[in-house]
Amino acid sequence: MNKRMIAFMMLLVLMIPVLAACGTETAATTAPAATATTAAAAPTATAAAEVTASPATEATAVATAAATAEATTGASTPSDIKIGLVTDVGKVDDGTFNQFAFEGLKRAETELGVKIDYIETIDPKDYEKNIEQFASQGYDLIIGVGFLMGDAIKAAASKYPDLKFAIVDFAYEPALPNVKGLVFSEDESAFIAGALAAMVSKSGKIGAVGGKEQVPAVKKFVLGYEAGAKYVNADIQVSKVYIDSFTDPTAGGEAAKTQIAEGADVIFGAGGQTGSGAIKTAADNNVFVIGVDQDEYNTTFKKGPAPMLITSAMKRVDNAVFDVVKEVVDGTFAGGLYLGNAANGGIDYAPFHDAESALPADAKAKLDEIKKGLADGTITTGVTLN
Amino acid sequence: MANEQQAPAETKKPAEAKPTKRSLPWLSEAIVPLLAILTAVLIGAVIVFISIPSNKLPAFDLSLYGSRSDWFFSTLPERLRVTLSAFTGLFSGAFGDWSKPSTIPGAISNTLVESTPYILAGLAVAVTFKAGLFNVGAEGQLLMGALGSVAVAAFMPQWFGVASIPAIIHLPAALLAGVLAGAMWGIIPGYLRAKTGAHEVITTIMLNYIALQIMDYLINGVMKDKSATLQRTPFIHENAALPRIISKATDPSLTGGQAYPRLFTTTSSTWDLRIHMGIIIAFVMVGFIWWLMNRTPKGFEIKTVGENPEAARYAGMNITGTVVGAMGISGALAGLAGTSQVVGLEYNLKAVFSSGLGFDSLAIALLAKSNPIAIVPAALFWGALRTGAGAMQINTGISINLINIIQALVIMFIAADQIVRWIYRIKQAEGGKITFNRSWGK
Repeated sequence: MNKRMIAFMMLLVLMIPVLAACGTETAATTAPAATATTAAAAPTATAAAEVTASPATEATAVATAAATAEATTGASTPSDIKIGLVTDVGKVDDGTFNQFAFEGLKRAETELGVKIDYIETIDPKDYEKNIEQFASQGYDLIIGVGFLMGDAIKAAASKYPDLKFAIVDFAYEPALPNVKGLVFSEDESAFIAGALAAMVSKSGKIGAVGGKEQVPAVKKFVLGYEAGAKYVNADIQVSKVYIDSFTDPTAGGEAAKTQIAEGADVIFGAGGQTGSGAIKTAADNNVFVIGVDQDEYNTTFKKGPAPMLITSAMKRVDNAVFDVVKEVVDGTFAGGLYLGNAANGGIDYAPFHDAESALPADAKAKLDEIKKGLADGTITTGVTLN
Repeated sequence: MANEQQAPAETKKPAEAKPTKRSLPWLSEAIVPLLAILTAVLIGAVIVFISIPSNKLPAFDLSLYGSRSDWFFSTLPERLRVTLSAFTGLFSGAFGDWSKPSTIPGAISNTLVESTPYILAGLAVAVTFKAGLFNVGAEGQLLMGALGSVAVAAFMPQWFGVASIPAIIHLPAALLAGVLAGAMWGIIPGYLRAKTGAHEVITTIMLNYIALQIMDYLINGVMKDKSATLQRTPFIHENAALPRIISKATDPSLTGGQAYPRLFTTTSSTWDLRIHMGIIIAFVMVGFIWWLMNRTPKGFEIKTVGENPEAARYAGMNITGTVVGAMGISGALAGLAGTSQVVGLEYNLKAVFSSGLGFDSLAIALLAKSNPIAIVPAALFWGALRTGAGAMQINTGISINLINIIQALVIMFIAADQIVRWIYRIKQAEGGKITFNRSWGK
């Protein structure tokens, strides 16, 4: 150990209180309300500084959030309401339902003025821990994204009966008093997409690449797609492939190529990144493709140009999340089920974007007619699991 | 910034300043890993500083700020504050928010729970490093351990046609099944290595896939809980569960009617902790492996074979037996890591169990330089990062991948320790103890 090194280490030690002081100082200037708590505990040692820094910073975060919320809404302050979102394995900008859920939450932040935070899960075994992170801080509503979080949300809901929870894509039997399951009629959404696929297919063969077959949502998408295609063209052949992963775009692409080689000229990808890989590959091979969950024009195809993407079978997870936040703000939240379907706008099909010129002129009218039929019950998809 | 990471380093500094050649030999060993962590955290802080999401900063407004760069400079204090809160968040997530004492037990418990499999799997890898082997198969051995233990823990009463088996038989049987399944998955590549020369890196990687697929097959097949919507096994029998140390009584409606044991039952939410006896087992194993490596002839053989197999052969040591034995011990430890997750924490095995724990354990063994005692702080560091990540993201909105970046930087600085030595002007370790060795993780 030579002197330069020791000097460097000493410098680092000296820097700590300086930096800590910076933290408290800015806190003092930005949020006068927080100074009382900060000043109360004088940072004598670095360890103490460390501890005092956290309430100060938190106080500032809350204070600034409250200030901006008040500025935007100007109404009475629902800014005390804190909503926490725990994503499934992935990111809030990964182009899957994680992103869609987060967008709904962001809309709630701007329109309702609630305070939002999120944790991105990096491993399935972290679900419980991430939910706990919000629950222990008393968040008013905690939203879990995804079927796989079913057990974790249930455990948290029983441990924290006073907090409210919501979970995307999961329904409890029997319903829990403080959990709202946000589920969708995937089959209706895919039914519309399948109908469009049948309208544009020239070969009379279309394909679907799904994620894990055991996940009900995937199966309902794929079967709904088949039913919709057969509704338009009873003789159409639908090739269905399930891949045992949601994160394997290569395998999805390979499956799509196989279907194309067999003559399919429309490919529907329904399985997270696997499905996105399938439709990307298929689009590269000049085959019409259909996205899933949200408008993949904006996500997988990065806002175009995407002349081969004819539509996406959308689940309006954003609307569902927004609605459940609104219920919490309005005080009308109750445990149970939110079923997004054609009737309440919970499912939809995405605009045609760049593919519009390649589609039949009356495509939109026909799809709207089918959507209306699904909504009023004159058309049923006939999809049942098991 | 980076207070909580620097704190441990600080306390050691006065000791460092003194001549330490004799008094603290472990410190000169530990200095590079500690500085690697420090450097990685500092770089992490710089990344936070630059990449703070815009919604945590005052919005850019042309009428208020002359240009983008003015805006950037005017947000410097705010950026500093957010950077600081990223690390206070990391700290409070891992060790509790010390202004709210009720959060402390839960956070520390979560960190220990997270660290438990890291300690066991890290030990597993360290043993093979000592033997000159690179066991990439800890993941597969861990999965097999989890599978073996859940098979016994959930299904053993059925095999004998009884309603339940006393805990004194059932729990040890479940642990043993996990250990043996893991050991078997370690012995296979060990034997192939010793007898045929098939490189253990290749065979263990392959065995990882086999273990994963076996697990997937069984959980989707004969071991599936038919009543569950998730792909998972039934809940294990309550007599086969490792007790939690202090927790609320289980709610049988969440656990398929099983009431799992607790050493102390509480009704307070503050003390409703997930920490289980697995951590005690992990500490016992740390002591055992330390004793085995440093106080027994077997340990000496393993180290000699690792450092110089030719010399070991010349000295009459049984190379085959040692290699197979080391892989067996390693597999058993990794299996125990999987077992403790199943019988101590999760109480069932899910198809999404796939953990990456086995791969992280390679990093932990490297960070600890394969020293069994040093595995504990290394695993705790890893566990604390993973546990604190959520609170860090709540505080700052920084992507949770920052944790992965810090972890990767730590490993990079450990592997290329010349970088750290150059930055901090540390000379090579004194004594010039240069051994020609083919072992890893030193």
